[in-house]
Amino acid sequence: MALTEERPPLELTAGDEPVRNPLGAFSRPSSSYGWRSWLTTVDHKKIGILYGATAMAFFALGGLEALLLRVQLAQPEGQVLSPEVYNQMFTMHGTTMVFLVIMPMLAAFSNYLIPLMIGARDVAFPRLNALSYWVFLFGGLFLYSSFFLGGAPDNGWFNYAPNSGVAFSPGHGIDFWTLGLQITGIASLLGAVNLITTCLNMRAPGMTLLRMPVFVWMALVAQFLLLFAIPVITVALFLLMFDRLFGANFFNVEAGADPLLWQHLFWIFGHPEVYILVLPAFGIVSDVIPTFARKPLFGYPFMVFSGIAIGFMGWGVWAHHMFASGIGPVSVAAFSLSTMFIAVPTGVKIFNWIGTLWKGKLIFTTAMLFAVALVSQFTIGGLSGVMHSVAPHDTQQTDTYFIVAHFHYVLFGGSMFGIFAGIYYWWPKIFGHKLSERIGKAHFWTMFVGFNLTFGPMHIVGLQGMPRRTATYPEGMGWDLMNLLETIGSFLIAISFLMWVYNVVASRKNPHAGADPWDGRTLEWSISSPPPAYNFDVEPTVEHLDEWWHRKYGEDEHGRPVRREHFTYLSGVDEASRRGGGDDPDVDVSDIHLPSPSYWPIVLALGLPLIAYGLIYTYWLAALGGLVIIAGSFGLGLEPSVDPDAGHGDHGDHGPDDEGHDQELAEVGAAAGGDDDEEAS
Amino acid sequence: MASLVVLAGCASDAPQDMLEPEGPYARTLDNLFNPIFWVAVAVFVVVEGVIVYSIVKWRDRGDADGDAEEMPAQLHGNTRLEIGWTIVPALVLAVIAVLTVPVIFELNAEPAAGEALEVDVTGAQFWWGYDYPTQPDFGITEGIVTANELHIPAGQQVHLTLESVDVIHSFWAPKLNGKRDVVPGRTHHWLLEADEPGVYSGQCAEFCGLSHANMRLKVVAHDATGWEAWVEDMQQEPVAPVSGLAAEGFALFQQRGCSGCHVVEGAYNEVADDSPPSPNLTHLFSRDCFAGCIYDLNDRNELEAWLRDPQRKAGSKMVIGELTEADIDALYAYLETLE
Repeated sequence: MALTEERPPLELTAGDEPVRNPLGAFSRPSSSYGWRSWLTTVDHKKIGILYGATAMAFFALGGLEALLLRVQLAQPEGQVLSPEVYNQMFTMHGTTMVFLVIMPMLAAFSNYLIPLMIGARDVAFPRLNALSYWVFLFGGLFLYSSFFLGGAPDNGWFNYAPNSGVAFSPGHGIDFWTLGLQITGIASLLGAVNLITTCLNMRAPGMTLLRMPVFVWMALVAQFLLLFAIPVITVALFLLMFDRLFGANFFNVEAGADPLLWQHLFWIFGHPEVYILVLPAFGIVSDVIPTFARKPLFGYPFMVFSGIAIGFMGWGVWAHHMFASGIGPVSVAAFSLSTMFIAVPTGVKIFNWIGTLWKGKLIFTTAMLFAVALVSQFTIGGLSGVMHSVAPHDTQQTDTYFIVAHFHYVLFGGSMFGIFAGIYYWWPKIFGHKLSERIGKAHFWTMFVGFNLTFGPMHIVGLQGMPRRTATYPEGMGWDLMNLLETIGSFLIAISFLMWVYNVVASRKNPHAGADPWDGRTLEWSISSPPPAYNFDVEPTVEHLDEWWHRKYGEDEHGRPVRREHFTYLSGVDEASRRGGGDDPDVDVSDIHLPSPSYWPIVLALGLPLIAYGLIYTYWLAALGGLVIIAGSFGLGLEPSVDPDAGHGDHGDHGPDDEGHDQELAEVGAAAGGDDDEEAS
Repeated sequence: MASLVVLAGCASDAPQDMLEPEGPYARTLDNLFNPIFWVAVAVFVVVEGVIVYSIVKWRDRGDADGDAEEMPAQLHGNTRLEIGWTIVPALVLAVIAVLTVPVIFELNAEPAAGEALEVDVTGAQFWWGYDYPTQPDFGITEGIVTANELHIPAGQQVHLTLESVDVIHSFWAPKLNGKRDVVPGRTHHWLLEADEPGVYSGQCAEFCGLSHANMRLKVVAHDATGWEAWVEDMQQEPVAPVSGLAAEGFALFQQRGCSGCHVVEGAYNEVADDSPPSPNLTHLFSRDCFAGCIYDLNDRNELEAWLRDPQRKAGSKMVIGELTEADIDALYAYLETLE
């Protein structure tokens, strides 16, 4: 594998010394401990944690916005929020949950898990990976800074033209939206290129495509969707930016534009986006359910190919968001049919999960509860989705709370339940200890009840004709009771989220969980928790789907699994791997070279919000941002990925004997001279 | 969940309930929805039933001898099952498709010339304008312009021509038909019909800005005599008051700039060039509601409050200077004559 090769430092011209400090800006960071290491890390696992932590912080913000919406709608003629604030809240709630919570949360899982699951040391482009995270973070912060700079965007996450134009939205809110999402789009594109390359090129020997865990498969499909969908929204955002900032007329009706152009561009992105948000969650539960059903995933190839089928068909259904927009009966009929039939591969997934549960030995950990909740709740969202595909009746349903109910069953009941399943499942791998199962179950049941109480009644008020995105509603429409229930439910969800936060805090002193606390099936459970920086002592040679399971279990004469007496963890766990470990007991892990930390990704990323502020306020700032990006690009490009001064890569951070002692080592590292200290060895 | 939805179908106090159609188009939609709804309920019951059964039946109950864990049979899949649960849902969906597609074309069919009452609908932030072109077949010998309340004859096909003057709106009266977007720069058509005389609630269904929630509408369906009476009333120009408080208000209507934006036929026929789109007030007091149908015109306080501060509705484009209470009384007295 490329990363482990001995290779000479980057040379620009033959015979020259390698560039050590490009532009002479700062000395190269080398420590893997302390807060500064988080700014400079290129380790996919740390970047995954950064993505996850950031996404959960945004989840709290998006949830707070949702609570304000629900307080306003708790009763008719609500006076809590002005219409201005209400419109900002529902816009930012949707934008946050889609772009700043679920997408980065899935980026977190993909980053952390894909290399571990395919037996790689890191992603294909670790430095690009760091850049991708910082770009995402700065894009999100830029978008949120609009709250302090004259008001957040207020035209919905769909931001239809021509209301998005300067004539109807003269404030800067929409500019922040347009520019902020272009920035986070860059992050998504970088991530997509990186993770696709990782899946295709970095697999361990024997890890054929059809031996990849389903999570890796679904993440791969989602990354392909991102690769093709993000350019579409970027084009739309770019055109809108030109309209708003430079007086172009792409969406100006006065100048002859057709506002439906925006809707087509937005939804050609927007519908694949739905699968970007939900497929990785499907992948998560496809790995969680077999572990806790104690049997392999039912119909693995069908799960993989149905995911791919959804990925393809997802491109042919976008206009079902536009059944009332006047696109003509032939288009409506075509998109109605394609939308109906995308339910087929989705149904295949549901049935295979049930097939996995069938005759299993179901262990209801919190992760399993969330996973089974996804299967049951997503089914509801899927069925209401089929109802929307009946285009004539969709002219009744669209833009009502029936739709709001539907996509929350898909994105909360689907994506978020999958994400929480993944959080509880992989927490011990990532942090070395389990989250409390007792608090976890309380969290699950509160969230499950709160979720259904919030979004279940939305089906009813929707069918009773309550439109979405309305800041208030009059008395006498028959919607009062259901709205009150929804608001109560939303507070239950908030309480359940606080339970999770409490769980994170309360569980941090839990005993070490070991490498394989759930008796897992896939390779990430074959290495220590948390894994060493280099993941595997030796890249494993893979012979089976569910490789780790097959290393642990043989079969008796009836084909029942029997745990082997001897099997070897692949790094950092037992005596065998401590001596060298993995598939080759003679290996010396101190020879493993990993890319060194770097300041350049964060520097480069910082240029993007500067340009964005500059476009809104003063071009001088944009010019400064441009210079930062040019400097950052040269810095990142000229800097060798492995610091030539660092000797042997990563000694001393996660030695094979530091299992469970990260904290102490971090303190020792800090005490020994801080982050710029040379390595501890 | 399903039972909750069924309950919703039974609720009768929801004036915008799409499951209780009161016209042929809405009923066509409902008749299409009903079987599909029940198919979905059946699938729901089966799928959730199997999930619950599996949970109850195969939940690990922590057998007493913890170490000797017995593994379940390691099933990897079953191709016949896979084919089955691919084909069966596809067939069910094919049935739904066969039911759906003809209705798509049926509801987009244009009515034969002269059969339908024609009404031009204008969506504007944040109210609805209705323009009835001359149609002698329906008693309309001279065009009628009104706002927010759409009057139609019951049992009569109505053909709407939808246009927007600013952003995208969506015209929706749930008991009479689904919604159709009203898109600036485009002309859309939509059909309505009410079985019986009555008042049908509706509202703008596409987010259109600050007061989207306040862009409501009513459809008033008349019986034959009611329709004739309404048309006749609407074709009478109001008589400008010559004395008393109303006459003072009549003068104020111009002095205060109201006539720069609002047409009152026979008295103020021309609006200023830079006027925002504004409701025609010729027969204001023939209506029950105003300002996007969110205020009750039968309640004097509502209109007075509006004259004091048109910004009580967020995003209202109406500008009116400071008025004394006497001004308001006079304006009200004049407006009241616009029946």
